[in-house]
Amino acid sequence: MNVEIADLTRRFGRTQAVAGVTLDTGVGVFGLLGPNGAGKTSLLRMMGTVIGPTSGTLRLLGRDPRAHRSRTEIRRRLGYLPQALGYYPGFTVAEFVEYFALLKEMPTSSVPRAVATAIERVGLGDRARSKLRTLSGGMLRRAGIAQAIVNEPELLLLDEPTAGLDPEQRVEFRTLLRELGQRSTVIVSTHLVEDVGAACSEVGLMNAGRIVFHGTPDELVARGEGHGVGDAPLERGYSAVLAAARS
Amino acid sequence: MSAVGPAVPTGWRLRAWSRSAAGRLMRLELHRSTMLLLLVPVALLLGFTELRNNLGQAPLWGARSIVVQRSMELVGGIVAGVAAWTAARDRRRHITELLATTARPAWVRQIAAWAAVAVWSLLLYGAYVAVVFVVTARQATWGSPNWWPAAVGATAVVACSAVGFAFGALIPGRFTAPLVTIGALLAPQIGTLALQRNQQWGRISPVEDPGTSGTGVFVPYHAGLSIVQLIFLVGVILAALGALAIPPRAGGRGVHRAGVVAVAVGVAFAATGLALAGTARQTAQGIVIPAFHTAADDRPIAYTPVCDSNATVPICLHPAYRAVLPSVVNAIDPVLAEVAGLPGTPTRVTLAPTTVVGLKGGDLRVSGNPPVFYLSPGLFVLQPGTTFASALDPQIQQLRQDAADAVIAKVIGQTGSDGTMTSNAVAVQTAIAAGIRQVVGLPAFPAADATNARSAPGQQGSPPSPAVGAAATRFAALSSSARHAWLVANVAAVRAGQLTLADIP
Repeated sequence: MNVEIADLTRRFGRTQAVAGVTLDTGVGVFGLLGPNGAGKTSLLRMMGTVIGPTSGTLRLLGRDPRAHRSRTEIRRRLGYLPQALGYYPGFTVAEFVEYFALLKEMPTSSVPRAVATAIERVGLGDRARSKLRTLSGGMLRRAGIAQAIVNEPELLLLDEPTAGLDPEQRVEFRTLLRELGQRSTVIVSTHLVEDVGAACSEVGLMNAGRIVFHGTPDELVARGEGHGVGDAPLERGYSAVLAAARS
Repeated sequence: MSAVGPAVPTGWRLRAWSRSAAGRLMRLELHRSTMLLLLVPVALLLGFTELRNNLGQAPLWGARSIVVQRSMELVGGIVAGVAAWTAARDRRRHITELLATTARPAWVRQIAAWAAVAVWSLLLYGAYVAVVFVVTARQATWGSPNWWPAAVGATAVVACSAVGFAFGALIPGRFTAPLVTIGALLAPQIGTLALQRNQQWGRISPVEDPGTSGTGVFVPYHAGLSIVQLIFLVGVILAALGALAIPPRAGGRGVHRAGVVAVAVGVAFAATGLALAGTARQTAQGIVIPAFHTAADDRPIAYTPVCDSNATVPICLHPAYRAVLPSVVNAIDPVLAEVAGLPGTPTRVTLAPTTVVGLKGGDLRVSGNPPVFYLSPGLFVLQPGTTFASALDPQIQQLRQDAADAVIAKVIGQTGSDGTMTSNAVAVQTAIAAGIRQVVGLPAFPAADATNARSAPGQQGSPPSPAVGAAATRFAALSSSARHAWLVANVAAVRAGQLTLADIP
């Protein structure tokens, strides 16, 4: 298992963002669904070693991120795309991705090829020399994905990765996700249930800091049959599970 | 987006600028450093202010090297602000979260960003020093560059960048960069204020230099204060960069420990520098730090004067002032020619260090037996904002006036300054002095303001009577030989106050 979480909590003052999450997941694409404020981003930030948990245990790639040396090792094998991607506007796409490749302590000799590969994979090859300030929102998002995958991460955490992508790019991205999920653990936090249906092998649904559903997309669809509200089967499953959790 | 495995890059490649991660990080940081964007504007600012002032100084290696050090004040202030701005960029760009997930310690990342600012700043300062030194090399007639002040200036620029960066990283905020800029511009003045209160540690300020008028010309440059300033500045750099490594987010325990050690060593260096600066002593040769000074350091620099032997008396300057010799001869020789052979007339003119016969900065005097006309190097120090070429003419004009005052006073006597002479005798001396002044192209009766009053003939503070003016005009109208012959015959009587205005032909 690349992610082993047991009874994980996280508080921000009086707010309980994550309230006792237990989750084990290995290679594959895991979709993390949930309404706003459900705790998805906080959970992702803990898995990204950005913040520590208030209580509970967290093991990533078989290591305890509380120890500095383990945390560094995890970070070398980690890819992370935050919800709000910050960037240096004066960087070109290639510089931005190279910068993160170097910060991830990739072997220097492999950096140029890895950077080129990551940029080509997100379809920004023709804009590699463009400054980030000149890119559209969707292109910036793709540059963010490129920096996340540049080190061929064993654990890839993507927070709302398809926000800003047009339908065609979203379809391509799902294909990329499926491909990445063959070798790595990819955890995608999203509002878009169609992304989950198309790309994820597993899905978790969070509500009020807890995982209220963990199964396959088909199982989620099954939960919605005859109960849920929505245009698509997954949406009906999503709304049915949420309704049950809230009742 | 491609789903087909690792794609082969097309159309572009990353340049393999460096094989090391540190080298590649530096390349990226150098490429996008804010300092790079500001190089041209800051260079222009430097050119129109510091460079202009510096090249306005006489082309002496000693003077120009020292002014180069003081120029760090402007560069350092700007660099500190840019460094603070750079340090706060991650927060400003909302990229801290993404950076927090990377393996390399934040301290390494920060050092790379700081180093880029420091490198560009050093290049800018180095280019400035190079311009000053190249121009000086073309103009100077003696000596060689003094690298100590330039080294202090460069280290001070790096120290400003380190301190600015530390403030920006540890106290990020909207006003940090402007406040750091203002602080860095004002900080060197703390030393000046301390010196005004006789606190010698104030000499640690990088805008303070150990030179006096004539340093590097007559007396060697004493590097003691420069060494002390370097010790202090290296300490500041170490402490500032070490402070970056102390917060837990900077890296692991090793980085934290390295930070604590760097801060401790830096503080020790800075304290040592301050303590040594506190022992500074002002001597005639310049500022001396006893710990770095030996008696041999005070030995005057040997030189062979350059002289104009065609003048009325030999006029000799230090070879560093060879370029101004013709102007000096042109200023002084007409005066000397008028009084040649008279008792008290200088037998030679020489440029001397301020230590000789008690000369002060911009002083000249006739003394000794036989009399020697001493000029001090301070006469050739120009006002800031002027250039040597443009300011030389008024400078030489002033020299002629001062020389006339000094020589005439020596030959025909001080006109009644002790109150023992009659008003008639004073009038005679005034008229003769005014006549000679007219002959050498000076105003007969210069404005009698307080700053020009030198107790010399013709400058008594009250306007001369018409009779004195008429006598002066008569005397000036004589032929050169007649005037000189009359003076030879009557100078003793003039000095004794035995003549009247009517005796002047």
